[in-house]
Amino acid sequence: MKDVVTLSKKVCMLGAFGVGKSSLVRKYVYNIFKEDYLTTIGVQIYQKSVTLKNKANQVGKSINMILWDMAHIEKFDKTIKTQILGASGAVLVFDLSRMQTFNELEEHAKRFLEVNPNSKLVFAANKIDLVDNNKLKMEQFLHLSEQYNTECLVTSAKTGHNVEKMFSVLASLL
Amino acid sequence: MSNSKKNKSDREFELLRKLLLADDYEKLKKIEQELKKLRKQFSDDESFIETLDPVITDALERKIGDSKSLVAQTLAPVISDAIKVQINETREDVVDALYPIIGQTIRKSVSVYLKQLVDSINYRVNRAFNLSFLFKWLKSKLTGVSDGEWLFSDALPFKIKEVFVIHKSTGLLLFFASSTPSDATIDQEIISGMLSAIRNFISEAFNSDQDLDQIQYGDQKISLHADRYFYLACVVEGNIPAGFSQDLQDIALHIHNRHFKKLRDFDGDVSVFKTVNNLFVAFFNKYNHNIVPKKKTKPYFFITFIAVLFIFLLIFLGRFFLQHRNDEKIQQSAMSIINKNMHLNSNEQLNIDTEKGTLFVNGYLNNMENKLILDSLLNTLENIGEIDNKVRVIKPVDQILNRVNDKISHFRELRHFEPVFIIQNEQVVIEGIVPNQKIKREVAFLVGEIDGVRSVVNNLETMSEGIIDDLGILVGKAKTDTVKFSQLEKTIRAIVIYFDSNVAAITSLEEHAILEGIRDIMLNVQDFDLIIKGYADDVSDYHYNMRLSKIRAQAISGYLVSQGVSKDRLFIEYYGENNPVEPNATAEGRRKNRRVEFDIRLRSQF
Ligand SMILES: Nc1nc2c(ncn2[C@@H]2O[C@H](COP(=O)(O)OP(=O)(O)O)[C@@H](O)[C@H]2O)c(=O)[nH]1
Ligand SMILES: [Mg+2]
Repeated sequence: MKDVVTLSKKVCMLGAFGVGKSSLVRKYVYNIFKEDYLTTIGVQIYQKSVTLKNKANQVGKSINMILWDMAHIEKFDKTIKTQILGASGAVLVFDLSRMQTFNELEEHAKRFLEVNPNSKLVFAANKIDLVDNNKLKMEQFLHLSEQYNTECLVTSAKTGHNVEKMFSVLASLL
Repeated sequence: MSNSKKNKSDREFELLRKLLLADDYEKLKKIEQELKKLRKQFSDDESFIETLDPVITDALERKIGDSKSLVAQTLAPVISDAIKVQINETREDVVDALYPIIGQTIRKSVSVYLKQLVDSINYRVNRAFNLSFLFKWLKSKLTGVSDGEWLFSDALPFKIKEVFVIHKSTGLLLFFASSTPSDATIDQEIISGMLSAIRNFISEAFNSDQDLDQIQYGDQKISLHADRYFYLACVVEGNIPAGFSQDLQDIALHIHNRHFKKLRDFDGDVSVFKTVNNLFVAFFNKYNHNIVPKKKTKPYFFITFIAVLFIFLLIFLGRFFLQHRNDEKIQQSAMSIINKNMHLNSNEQLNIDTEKGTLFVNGYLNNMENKLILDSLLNTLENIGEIDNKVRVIKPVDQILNRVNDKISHFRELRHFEPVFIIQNEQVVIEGIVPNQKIKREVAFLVGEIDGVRSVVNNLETMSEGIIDDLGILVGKAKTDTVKFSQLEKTIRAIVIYFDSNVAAITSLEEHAILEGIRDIMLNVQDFDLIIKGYADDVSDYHYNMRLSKIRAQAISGYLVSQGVSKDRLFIEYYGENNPVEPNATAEGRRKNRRVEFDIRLRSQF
């Protein structure tokens, strides 16, 4: 059997203030969710290993994800640019209950790709637990995921909906 | 100890300090005031909260920008107990203010001020190293003033605790070694990220010209050494001895020379850096030994002892130093002459080392000409003792690869034949996919026969091992036992044979192997009939596809008959482009639709 190599990859959380970047990471890594709002001070780094199966249900690849959750990512100043340098992927998060956060997302994606042109993205439409599922029109997000050749998943850091899946999708692209 | 003595030594020390720092004295005063202000700000709760505000980075940048020369240059040469105390007391606040971007994990325990202090002290001490200084130190020993005042460091013996090799642009951990193997509780990956975050921040805040190379926390220091692609972070305890920094630099150079390609094209695979372990084993051994507790000795005995020891040490170190310098010179000139005159291929390698004037060269080159060039280059070196040249010539990879490709060319037409050959020295690792076990063995065998290949690692995977194996098992069982119809049905229904566009011929060895498996079963188990179902993709018109799918089914049937299966047990069905298994929109979908499937039914008249 072929040895599966483990690749270490740096992944950044991007998106507007308060959309749930930190909450998603914490849910994913520690499986916890807290309502109280904790502004990230500086940068928090998390680690999680993902093993992906191929079609034959064998271990296809193994990714050691180092997740960077930064404060004030929206400022996109020089400091932030240095911090996102070298990332292979990013999770772009917006808040379904605050649609203006979606409008800012393209800018985040663009800027991130300027620094890391070969990196992969995944979009997370977060806080699905706060909106009426039936009224949700996913088509409106489609152009973004198509443009960046990736997926947009509805997630909830609170209920855990699609959190694991969203990170796995990204891992599979890395 | 008596107060007067202490005061005296303080005064002496103050004098020494002035002597050493004459030009910095004024700046020192300024920075003291600056720090006082900063401290006052932090004792005030409100302004402390302000520092955690998002604007802090800007504010700080401005602050550092304004007094940039002050902070960057003045802070470094400062030696003052007053400041030391101040920093210690306000360390947390200073750190909070300085590193708003650093996570809680080590944010609290990091202080860059102390790093700069220690640095500059080392620098000063090296520059001012003379006997009078040494006497002062001896005196302080005898008067009972701790040497901590002399160097501001802990009385702890020096020890390397951990080493991190961190990829520069990604902050990812490439390698980690610890002097205490059980001590792997903290998450090194996270620390690595943190360190690079701090480093990034510092170089931003101090406008990049100041490279952070030491961080102090608690009793420990992190000594950072930057290479173009990575940095070494060395967690140490106690005073950093002279030469340590040079050793780190050497290790960094070694890693760079050996791995720069992998570092430059780093894709996240850290396993390739395992080999650097060797470098660190020696490094740990060199520094982490003889940690003996201090003994109380009589003053006069002590002073003579030290004096004698010192003289010996001086002589010994001097010789050692000269020898070492000479070795280094030889090594460097050898390296530069080789780098200048030889272009090494990726599969060629030269290691150069010197000891006591002897130059050791080993590694391997592609061809004899290169080796001759190397020999003549080495002969031009001057001031050199012996040359120990163990360079070998090995068959170059490209040559081997060509031969491999020649040998296996007749397999290339096969579908699912995608082996990859990784050639290292004289070993070939084969990875990828081939149609079946037989071909897997055959490929490895052919490669093994090639001139210049010493060993073969066969990591090939086979395509439909599963089905062929299943058929084989069933045949074996049928010979001794009865096979359940349901089991047979399950195995045969799982078989699919694919065709190229507009083609109805069976070409691949794999497919022949499958059909032979079916034949074997049919010959051993008589009570079923085989239904062969042909399909096509949706390219071309409907009727054409109907015909094509029929021909495909007939081709299979014909082959089975040619292999001895009775014609009246074979039934053909065909569906053209109907019943696709996947949408015909993609090439891959169409490929999967151009197929023949199988089914069985109990034989009615047996
Ligand atoms: N209901 C709900 N609240 C969420 C979800 N994700 C985050 N939050 C809340 O949104 C706020 C901001 O989250 P945080 O993760 O700190 O956002 P960040 O600034 O993007 O890191 C917090 O109060 C979270 O509890 C979610 O999926 N559902
Ligand atoms: Mg956050």
